[in-house]
Amino acid sequence: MKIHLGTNYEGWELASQLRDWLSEEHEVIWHGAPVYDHEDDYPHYAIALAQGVVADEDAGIPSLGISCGRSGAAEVICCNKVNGARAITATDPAVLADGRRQTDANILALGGAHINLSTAQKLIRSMLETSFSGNLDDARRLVNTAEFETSNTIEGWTLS
Amino acid sequence: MTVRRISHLRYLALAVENYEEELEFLSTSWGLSIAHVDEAHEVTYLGAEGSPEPFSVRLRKGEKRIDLIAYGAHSRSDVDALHAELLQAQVQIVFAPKVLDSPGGGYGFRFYDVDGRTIEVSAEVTLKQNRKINPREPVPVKLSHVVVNSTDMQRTADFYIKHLGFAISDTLMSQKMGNLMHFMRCNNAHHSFAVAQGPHFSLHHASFEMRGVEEWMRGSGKILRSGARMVWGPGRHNAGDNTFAYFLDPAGNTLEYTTELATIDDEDTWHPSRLDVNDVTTQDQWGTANEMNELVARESFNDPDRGLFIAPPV
Repeated sequence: MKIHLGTNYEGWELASQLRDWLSEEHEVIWHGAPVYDHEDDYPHYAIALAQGVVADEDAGIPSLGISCGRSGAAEVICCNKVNGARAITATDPAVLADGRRQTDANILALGGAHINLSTAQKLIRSMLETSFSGNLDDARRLVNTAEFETSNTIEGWTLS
Repeated sequence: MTVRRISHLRYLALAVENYEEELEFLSTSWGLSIAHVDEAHEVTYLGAEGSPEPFSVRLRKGEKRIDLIAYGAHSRSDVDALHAELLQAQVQIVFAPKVLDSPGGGYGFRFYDVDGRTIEVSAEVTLKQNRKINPREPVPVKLSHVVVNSTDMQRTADFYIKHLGFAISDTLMSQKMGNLMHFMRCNNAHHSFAVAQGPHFSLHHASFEMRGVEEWMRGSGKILRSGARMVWGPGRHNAGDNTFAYFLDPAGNTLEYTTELATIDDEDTWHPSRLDVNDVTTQDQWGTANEMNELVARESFNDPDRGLFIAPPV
């Protein structure tokens, strides 16, 4: 699995620990400052990470994104601006697994100010061990969403 | 029933004016692989990774048309027998059985169907090494089916039944307009070919099978991101039970990603249905896709085929 791991300064410590852990089993692509940089901004890193995940997905390369920040909320917002990104955040592995099964989420945003390394590892394991449900209704809704993202329509209709 | 000498759909050959743009779309976005380039004739052969066929689409630079639709035969003797039967029936032959020089070679011949489309039937084609498409890989497994428009769909269907051994699996109809589309099989796939009633002869759409729902979903997202417009879908047909998402390619042809096309494993007990398109669940079991309205239908009418009773140069 190719893991796109990104962070700004607020998630840097957590991301650095995750980088070492993930590198034991996965190819890790780092999207963050090479060394801690107080006050670096998250949009650049989060967007680059999401672009990397979507490009891999389109190429059929198994990959996931893990975007670290203070709460994870900013990273969710930023990543989801990239066409094809499906970023979610959670603090509970069961909730995360449910979200992954339903949405085929391809990016996990983590809040470094609110969770420790152990919880982050549990969440990442949940993400790695769970896959999309394959449910046709869920698939249709995701294609609907992708259509709106590219053409502002759902099944050919403009929303008003 | 005529002896079924045809085994399966092999490939669709198209000519398009915007050859480079179409080639880029098919190879980069649609997920086909370039198998061979014939620069002298400005022809590219594109394969589907999951299919053992040496190529599934042949693209040629030229005036927009269907160059030909190619089917496999069970054996060389079936090729010869079918050729003899068609000669006997005074079907116009383009060339008699011979060794083919396209990738994979083989032994085959070409003829015009009743509408003037060039059809190739071949056997002994050298198959390529295919592979199982990976989970979540957004590329087609194979060419699933080809659908054409005809001004007299019953006449077209009758030709394929009488001379090529096809059978009707199901029919779309409306109370006002009568029959609209025959889904036709040449093996246990619900349909490898279909003919729709249209204002002229043309390609209605070509459909490619994805590995499963997840690959269909991811492939659809990828095509949308390429800028191609989804003209119909996502939905799930009643006839064939397959999921669908139709896109317009750069040449204005409609291409479909599908999955889970039904099979008919006991033809003796299969009874073709006539499905009313005015029943919303006929065409889309989910009933959620945009209706097959006039706009969608017009996209599928496509441009008139300029290649009828004119053999392609390659």
